[in-house]
Order: sequence, then C-alpha cells, then structure tokens
Amino acid sequence: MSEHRVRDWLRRHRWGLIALAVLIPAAVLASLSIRWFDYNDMTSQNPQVIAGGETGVVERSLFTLTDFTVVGWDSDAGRELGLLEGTEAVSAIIHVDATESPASDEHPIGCDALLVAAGPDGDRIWEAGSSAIDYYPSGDLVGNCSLSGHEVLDWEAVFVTPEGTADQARLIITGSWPYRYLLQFEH
Amino acid sequence: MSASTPGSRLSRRAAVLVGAVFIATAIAVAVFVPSEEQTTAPYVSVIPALDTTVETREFSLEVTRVRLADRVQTPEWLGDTNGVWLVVDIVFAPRLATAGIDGMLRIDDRIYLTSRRPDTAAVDQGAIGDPGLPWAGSMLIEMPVSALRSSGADAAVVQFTVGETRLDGVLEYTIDLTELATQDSVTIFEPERVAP
Repeated sequence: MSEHRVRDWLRRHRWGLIALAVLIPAAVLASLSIRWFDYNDMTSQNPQVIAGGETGVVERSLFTLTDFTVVGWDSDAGRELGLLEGTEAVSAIIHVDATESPASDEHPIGCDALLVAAGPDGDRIWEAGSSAIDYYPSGDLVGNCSLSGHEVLDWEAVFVTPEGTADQARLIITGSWPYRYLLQFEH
Repeated sequence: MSASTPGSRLSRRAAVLVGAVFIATAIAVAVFVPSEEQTTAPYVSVIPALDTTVETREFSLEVTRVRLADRVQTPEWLGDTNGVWLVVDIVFAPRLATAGIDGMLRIDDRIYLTSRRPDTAAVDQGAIGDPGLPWAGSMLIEMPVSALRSSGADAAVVQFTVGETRLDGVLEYTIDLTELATQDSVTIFEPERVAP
C-alpha cells in the first residue's frame, strides 16, 4: 500500500525531481566553468614554440632569438663580471620588429623575458634584469622591450642563475599584462 | 470536512522528512566542513637552530645570528629608538620565483612587524632575490623594552614569510629574549649575495 503511494508521489513530482537532478549539477558546473575559463585565459602557459633561428609573431610584431650566451662563474668573462661561485650569467638577444604593432599611447604594449626551468616543486622562474648585474656583452643594446615605439630593435635580456640552469631552461617572452607565456624560444 | 486523505498525510510526512534531512545536512555542513581559515592555513616549519637551512616550497632560509641593540646603524643611517631593536641575521633564497622576505616577531599574542625605517634592512625592496641565488642580510624588529620582560619573552617566535602565505610555507624560529644581552650599538650592511 505505502509503496503504491510513494510511487504515486514520485510520479506526480517527477518533473520537479528531474529538474532538481539536472539543474543543481548544471549550476555547479556553470559557476565553476565561467571562472575557470577567465582564469585559464589569464594564465595560459602554452606559448608558441619557436625553433632556433625562426621567427614568432605576437601582436603583429616579429620576434627572433639571434643569440643566447651563457657565461660560467669560473670562466674569464665570469670572473671579470664578479659572478659568485656556483652561478652563471645569460645574455639572450632578441630581434624585435614592432613596426606593425597595434600599440598606441593609450594602449601601450610591453614585453618581458623569463627563463623557466622545471623543478621538483614547480617551475622556477628568473626575470630578466632582476639581478642588477652590469652585463651587456653585446654592447649598448636595448635592455627593455616595448612594442609601443613601432620600431625595429635588438633587445638584450640578461639573467643570473645557478650554475647549470640556463642550458635546460626555456626562454619565454611574456606580455606585460595579462601575465601569459606568449613565445618560447628553443636555444 | 477538513479530514485529510491518506495521500495528503503521506505528502506532509514526506515534506517534514525532506525538511528534516535538509536541516540535518545544513547542521552537518556547518559543523564538519573546515573553515576557510583552516583550509588555507600555511604549512609551518620550524628552524631548529642557528646556521641550519630549512626549505619551504617557496624559499629557503637560515638564521645566522640574533642580537638585541639599543641602536642600529648603517653606513648612511642611525636608528635610535625608545625601545630596543631585535636584529636577526639571515641567509635567504627564493626557490621558485623572484621574491623578497618578510617577517614578524610574536610574543604570546603580541605581534611586532619588521621595521621599514632603515633602507638597508633585508625586508627593503632592494633585497629581492632570484631562485637559487641566496643573499645574506639583517631583519630589524623594533619593540618596547618591556617586551623583553613580558610573558612569553622566553619563547618569542620570529616568523618568516614570502608574500602570500595561504597554503604555502612559513618558517618559525624561537628565541629566548630573556637570555640575550642588549648591545649598545649594532652595525648592519646592505644585503649581499652569497654563493649558492
């Protein structure tokens, strides 16, 4: 008898129950996915990979890695620089053609360089220029990258890392905002 | 006239039952689900002794010396105080990304933040480091003299952090302030890179 009534109750309320079963998971998924896509767009870590000597295009600007030099602390150049034991300096020269860049005074576009190496606790990231070392072996090249000048420039990004890091690290070009990996140069 | 049918009695019972289940679930959620503070608490590790390097996911740190001083000076600055300075010499290196160190002193439930008065203190912006490249420097904490005699001074805790601490590593070093002699003056210098 009671089983019949339960079945009857379920039949009368079936659409409400189906709606609950579908809408609650859908609401949870929707609320998560909207935030996920925003977050994913902001932090994309899947850059274009550019083979040595090839050219990558970002913001209608052309980027080519023309030189990647590593100087160890125990080399003549390293001693001259005063590198500490166990460290090395890295100079990456990137040819940038920003003549077609969409940047303007109202919407300037900057770019930064990172060395990124995989580590046991996640990627280890070195920022160009943060070590304040006076090392620009190629002369007076531009130390900062901007696409706002609509010009052709050779940009020299300089890093100091622990010894043995640079050859395994990825050279990454990022936009100034949002913080995304745009280009990855093989060297 | 208003006698209820067996079907409507069943509906009422079902509604009461469903309501009770919802209320019980709400109570269970409120009681058993950890608070945001609990779910985002940092991982605290202890530095057991001087000259011992301890690592978190984000940084490594070694305390090399701890001093109390009435006055702190740098080549460009003289730090007088009505209280007393705690000078903590450290060797610090980020592990994942460019970062600077920060910290505070906790005596019981009282918190003293690191001082920004001297430009050369290790917590200044100039002391930012890169992964795997350590530097040596000093952290300064200014506090009232009475703090040295307060309860908990024999187990004061210096806490070291790098930026956001939620779900990340924090290091703590315990000091017996009552055992430290107060020097007239201590000189500190710019943070200096040291070999990895």
